[in-house]
Amino acid sequence: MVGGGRVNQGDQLGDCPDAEVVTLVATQSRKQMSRDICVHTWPCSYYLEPEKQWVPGELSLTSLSLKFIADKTGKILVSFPLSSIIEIKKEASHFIFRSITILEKDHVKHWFSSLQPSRNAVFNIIEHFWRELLLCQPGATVQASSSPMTKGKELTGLMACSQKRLEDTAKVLHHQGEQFDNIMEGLDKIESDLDVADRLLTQLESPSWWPFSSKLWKTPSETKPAEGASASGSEALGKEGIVIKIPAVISQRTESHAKPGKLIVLVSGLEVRDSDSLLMHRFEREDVDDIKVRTPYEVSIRQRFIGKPDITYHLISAKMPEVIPILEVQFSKKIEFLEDALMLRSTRASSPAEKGCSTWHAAPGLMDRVRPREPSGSPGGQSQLQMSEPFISEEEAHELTQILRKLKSLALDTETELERQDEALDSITSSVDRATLGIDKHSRRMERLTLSEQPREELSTGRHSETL
Amino acid sequence: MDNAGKEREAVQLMAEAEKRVKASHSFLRGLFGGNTRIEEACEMYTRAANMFKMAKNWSAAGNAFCQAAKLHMQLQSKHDSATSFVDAGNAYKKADPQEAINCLNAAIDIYTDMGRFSIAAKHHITIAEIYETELVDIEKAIAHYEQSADYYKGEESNSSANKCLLKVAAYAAQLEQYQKAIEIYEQVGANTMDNPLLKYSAKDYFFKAALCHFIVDELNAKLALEKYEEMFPAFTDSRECKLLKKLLEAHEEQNSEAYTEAVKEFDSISRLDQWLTTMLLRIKKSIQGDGEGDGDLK
Repeated sequence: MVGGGRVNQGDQLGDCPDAEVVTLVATQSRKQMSRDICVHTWPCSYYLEPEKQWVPGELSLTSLSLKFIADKTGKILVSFPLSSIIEIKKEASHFIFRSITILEKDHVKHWFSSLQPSRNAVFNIIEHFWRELLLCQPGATVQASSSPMTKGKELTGLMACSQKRLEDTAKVLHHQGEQFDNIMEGLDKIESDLDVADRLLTQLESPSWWPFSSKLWKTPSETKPAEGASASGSEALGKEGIVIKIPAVISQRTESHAKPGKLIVLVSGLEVRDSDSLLMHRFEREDVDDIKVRTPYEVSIRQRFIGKPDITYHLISAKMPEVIPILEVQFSKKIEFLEDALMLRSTRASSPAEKGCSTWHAAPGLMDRVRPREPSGSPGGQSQLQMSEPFISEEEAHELTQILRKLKSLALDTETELERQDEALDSITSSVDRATLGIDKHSRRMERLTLSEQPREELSTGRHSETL
Repeated sequence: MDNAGKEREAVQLMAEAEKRVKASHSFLRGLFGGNTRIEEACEMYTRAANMFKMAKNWSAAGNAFCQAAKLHMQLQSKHDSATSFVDAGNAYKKADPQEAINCLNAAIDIYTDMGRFSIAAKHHITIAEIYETELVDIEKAIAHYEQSADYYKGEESNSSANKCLLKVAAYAAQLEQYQKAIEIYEQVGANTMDNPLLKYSAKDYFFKAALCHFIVDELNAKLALEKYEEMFPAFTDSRECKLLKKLLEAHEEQNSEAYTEAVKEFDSISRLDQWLTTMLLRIKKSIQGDGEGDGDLK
């Protein structure tokens, strides 16, 4: 039942077309407001295609849609559901201004520029929420989403990643090989052209009596192809129980360096990792001084030091509502709800029995989100989750061997191709040498010919100027 | 400041070059002296263009290169003309995309005339990229990518041709022209299947083709999947194939939860790119669409 309600929410937004937005805003926004809390707003400017001008305003992201509101008029200029996004890109307008472009379903391209605090931060956050639309099922419970990654799965992930890289390398290598073949062809053509030139020159030089021999410059030009090696380093996860692990957009102190990563809630503390699973910071449970919940999607965690700057991390994630209850249990004293998130607090405070009816209050959408996560927040759920087994299951082992086998054969094939290219390069080098030699020789011969021609030419131009 | 000086110098050079061209027209057209004048004018235009470039006055630089190209044409040096047109295109690209496309088209005409198809193909790609990023006219971009793929194929540069075709397919799928996308993916997949180096990525193409089938019709996707497995046995034990099977099952049962779970599992091992995200979202929507109609009508 709960799941059904949430699905509605998605579709209601999904079906509001762009043109009608302005008229629908009044009625729609009220509805959306209640269901859909604004995740973040950024000051930025938007390019109006017909007027060819940039309009300053605010870009606001909710968990399901994206809106742009102009500063001056207060009109909503753009509003579309995240599900209609085809592509998000970082581009530069006029080759200078860094901006984000979003391609919508009917190939309408929206340009947003002068983003505050930084383009990358905004880009990462929008992309994150867009992806979560696909990856998170509104009805799913936290157990499913937080199921800790087993060692085997992690290994598979790593292997799959390196396989992908190697596949790409193979593609590039193949392309390079083809280009070498083309170079060989081109050089053959040059050689045949040189032969023709040689013949013509000999004809021109027919009265010549001087055998042409000269010391020649040798300029062997050889380019070594740069080989992109892929390396992926990673660190094994700590052995202790992981309560929940969510993808998040992380920024430290200021928001200008936001990048995607992960927040891992452990029994003994919190870990912030970057996208390569490298540890960025680890908060021990005792060390966390406060956690501020800014919106249901954004928290900041702080550790104070005496005589040193605080360590603060801001985390934004679509799955944050699942984590907040857990954090609340773990850090009950230290957690603090700011105004946007206050309703979250109120729902938490009410006893489970009341919860059923309070769903009809201010933020039903949010309530739904919080409720199913309840069990994991309780200590019982936690201890159960603590026992994450680090073993590799039969199935995973099978998959691993398969990937490894593929990797091996791929590597062998790459080697043969590389050897072939080496040979090709050798012959290209010698052929280029020959061609440079030939061209050099010919240019010398031509020089000599033109030298003997020059007096005549000068005469003719002289005559021309006279006629002028 | 320095740039302003450069620009002034460039304008002067342009004026002088024009004078020379006029002079060659009025007096000694077609004569030896006339040609040297045009040659000089050509050189001046190029120098002016380079100075404009330094001053970052792109459209003026483009214009100067264009003039030079036209003069080169007059002098019958096609190759120089084409390179000047390309230079003009590159300069215009930063200021006036439409004009850049015109210049590059002129260059392509010359190159195809000379039989240099692979260079022409390369410039077709440049044009396609301009359409793609600057003018957002995806249809035209597709047309140019296709043309370039044809040229590359003619020159036996199959991997370059494939690259272009894959672009076409990705865009076609985004524009919901699934049939076209499917054809291309199948073709590329079949082409790469037998190559020792490329056969490892063939599964990607079959996966994408099957996804496109899936959006159109579930049954078709099933048939296609069987066909691909038969064609390319290694596809069966790839993760992509397993995901497809799971998705098909979930779709049959209209179980969006299972669908999401399968996608998530796949994503946890290798991250989905934007194209796949779009396509998978479209399929997911079709599941939800059946489940409830009340949400839309609120």
